[in-house]
Amino acid sequence: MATLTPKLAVQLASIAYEIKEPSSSGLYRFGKSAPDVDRAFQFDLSNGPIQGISGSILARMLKRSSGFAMVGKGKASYQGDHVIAIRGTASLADGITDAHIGLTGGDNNSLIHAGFNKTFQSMKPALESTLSPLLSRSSNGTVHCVGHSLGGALAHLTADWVKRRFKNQVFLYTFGAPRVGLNGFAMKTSNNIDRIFRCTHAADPVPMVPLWPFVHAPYQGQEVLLAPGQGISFNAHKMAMEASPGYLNTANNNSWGNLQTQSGINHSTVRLQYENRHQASFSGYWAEKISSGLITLLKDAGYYSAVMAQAAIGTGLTFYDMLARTLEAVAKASTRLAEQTRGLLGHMLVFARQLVTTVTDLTFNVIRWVFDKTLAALYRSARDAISSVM
Amino acid sequence: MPRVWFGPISLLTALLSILIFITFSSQVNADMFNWLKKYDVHLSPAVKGKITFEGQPVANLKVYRELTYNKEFLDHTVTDSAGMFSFAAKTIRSRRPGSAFDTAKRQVLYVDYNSQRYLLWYYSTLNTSAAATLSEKMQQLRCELTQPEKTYELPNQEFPEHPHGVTGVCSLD
Repeated sequence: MATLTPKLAVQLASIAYEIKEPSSSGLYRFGKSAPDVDRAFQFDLSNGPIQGISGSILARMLKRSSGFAMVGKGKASYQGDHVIAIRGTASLADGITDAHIGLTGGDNNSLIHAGFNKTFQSMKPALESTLSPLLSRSSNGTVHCVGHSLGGALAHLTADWVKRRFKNQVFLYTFGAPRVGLNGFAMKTSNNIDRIFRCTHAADPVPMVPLWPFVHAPYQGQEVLLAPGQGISFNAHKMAMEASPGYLNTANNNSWGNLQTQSGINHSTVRLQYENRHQASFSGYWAEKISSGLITLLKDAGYYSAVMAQAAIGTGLTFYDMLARTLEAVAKASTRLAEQTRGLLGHMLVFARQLVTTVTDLTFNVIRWVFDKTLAALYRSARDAISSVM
Repeated sequence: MPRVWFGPISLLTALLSILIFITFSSQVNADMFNWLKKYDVHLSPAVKGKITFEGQPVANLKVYRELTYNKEFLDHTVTDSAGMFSFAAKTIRSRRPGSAFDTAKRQVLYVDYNSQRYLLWYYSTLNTSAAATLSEKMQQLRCELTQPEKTYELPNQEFPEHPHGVTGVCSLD
């Protein structure tokens, strides 16, 4: 029933990268390069000599899902447990940073990111055939799902599915993972998955996307903040020991109790004053603050439920078009709400580091333009480094 | 590269905004354009070793070195009459270290002898730099093919809290 230590979880997430490139010799020794992992989990389930690997579960996973996931069997104090380590893929990098994010109904009947779901659905048959024989026999063992970055998002969907499919105890550990779905998904998975350890670095841009209405799970729960920091930096997303800070370094701890946790953003009431807009800056703090300002404005104007409902049914308009139309209507309702809208948009422009941050007209076109600039600034920081080399 | 769909005007706008962005972004400037640069990736130190079977040197045996970092770099050498073999160090230039994504680096040494494949060395890491302990060990590989494969835990001089695990038939004691 034990959880993975932070140290073990992060090392398992990192070895998922070993499966990305195939080896012409077929000589894989997953987990063997990290002594802690080697003591706790065994990945070569064939138990055979070097050639034996071709018939193993691992090799089949490699072929069928082109190296997304690997399944390990617990030993020593993890006897009876299994681990599923998942890495992200290049094709998903575009997905989290696209302003026109598609939503789709996931397995648990709540709305999730279409790209993540598509990839997860493609992995599911291989997961099913690998896990069925393992979990039907040792049904009381815990299944640990780990993943870094986009692999964290896939681990999240995997954990949710494994819990519903096999009823085992399921723990989820993510490092620098993006948001996967809307409120409904976050609530359902928070209840379904037995424990969620969501680890971040404050300056890592990936957990900041996709923007609201996407939310993190655990729903209104805790996140494990492994490194504080200012601003936004690509390097903060990396795992490697030689990166700074590097998840392998910051999570190198034997107890979750030793690590700093902070409450997830509850989107407290925030009303942004136009004349204070220059206090904003391009940072994770202000990304959240602006989201809270937007939600507060919609609530003040009585539009919040309607917007959430529209997001949920997926209208013909993209979400931000619909939001811009809504804000145009909000601004017309009263001078107070118009000022509050102006304050929000002004902060967005400063956040997006626009040269001109004055907001005159509160028309659809202007509002939509401000949204574009804001989304572009944040998404660019997450996307450029990720997709450029893929 | 993702799809590119700039028309001439939007291209101009894009260039302009990139220029403005470079000038005015203070916080992410430092690593924003790292991915345009190329970095050294140390794939393998120089390798020297000796291959024996039941204590006798194995001559004229092909030794393969399979190095993987985003793609595979495979080369080989042949043992001399004393069973000795060597490889030069291998470093490549790559843009990948500048990206937000980690890339695994894998070192595999193996031989095919009497229609059996023997793993001499397996090591994988997310680091792109050389590791002193491993560079030293790879200078003196003693590989007796009848020995079972073994995983050695070796001290990491650069990152002491993350010992290396190396697997193979060569003795690293």
